[in-house]
Amino acid sequence: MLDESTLNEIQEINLTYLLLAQKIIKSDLPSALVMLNINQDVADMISSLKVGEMMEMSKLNQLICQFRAVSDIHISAILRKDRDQGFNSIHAALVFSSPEASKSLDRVNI
Amino acid sequence: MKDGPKQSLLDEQANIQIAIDLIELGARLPVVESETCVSRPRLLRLYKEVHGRSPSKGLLPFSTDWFVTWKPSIHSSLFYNLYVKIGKYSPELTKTDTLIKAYRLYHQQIKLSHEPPVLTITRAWIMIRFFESNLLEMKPCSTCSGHFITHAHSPHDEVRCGLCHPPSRAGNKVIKNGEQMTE
Repeated sequence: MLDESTLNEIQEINLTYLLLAQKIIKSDLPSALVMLNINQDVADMISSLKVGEMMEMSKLNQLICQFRAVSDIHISAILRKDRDQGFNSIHAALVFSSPEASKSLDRVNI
Repeated sequence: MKDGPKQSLLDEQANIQIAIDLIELGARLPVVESETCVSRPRLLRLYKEVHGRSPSKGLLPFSTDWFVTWKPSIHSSLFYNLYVKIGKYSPELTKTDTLIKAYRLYHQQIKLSHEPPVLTITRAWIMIRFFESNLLEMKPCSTCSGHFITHAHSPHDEVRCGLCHPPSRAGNKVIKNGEQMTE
């Protein structure tokens, strides 16, 4: 069983995620879709949420956002490198923006 | 695209905004000229107002080889993946808007990674044309699954990307000289 404070953290992340997503969507929709990896319908839904509704959606013992569906092998390929030239983050950005990585995620939009 | 008398003030305004965006991102004038209906004299003025100097002259870079060399291929692949993804999620955008948004996202990420931006927006624009005329294509890396740029019509279905399999001396030059690559 999770303790109270960890449960609170989950709810905080849920609410923070929704507020942040709304902010990104409102500033620039096309870029937001790529940054959040969600389709236009989900973006419309999130941006239409009122604060009260966001609170309700946040009060869960589960996270509403989930880890990008990239296999463990691919993640270790990104992080494995001994040479560190800021390339690991570029590599991650590249893999996460590739068609394959986003395809698997289309099924599991929040 | 013509600068005819029918062009509304709103269209003209939108065109000038696109021209300003492109110039601010560092685009060479021939790129701006082909993406907007703004006349060349006005573009020259805009360029001088934005950068405080005259635009550089001469041919645009025209080789496909640059894009498949080690470091440029990494930057170009990241940009092109973003470009394709924006186009997929927001098909209603014009190609120019997609270019601008993808380049901004690319630039943002490169800055976060503390890397100099190797790919200029002019090169990005040329690269899109190379893809459209099937001179370049994207293929998944067999190790990390990231999509990487290659010459079109290469016989392999998968590539070994420059990040998973860097050439042995890759990256040394930049550290020694402390200089970034130029166009």
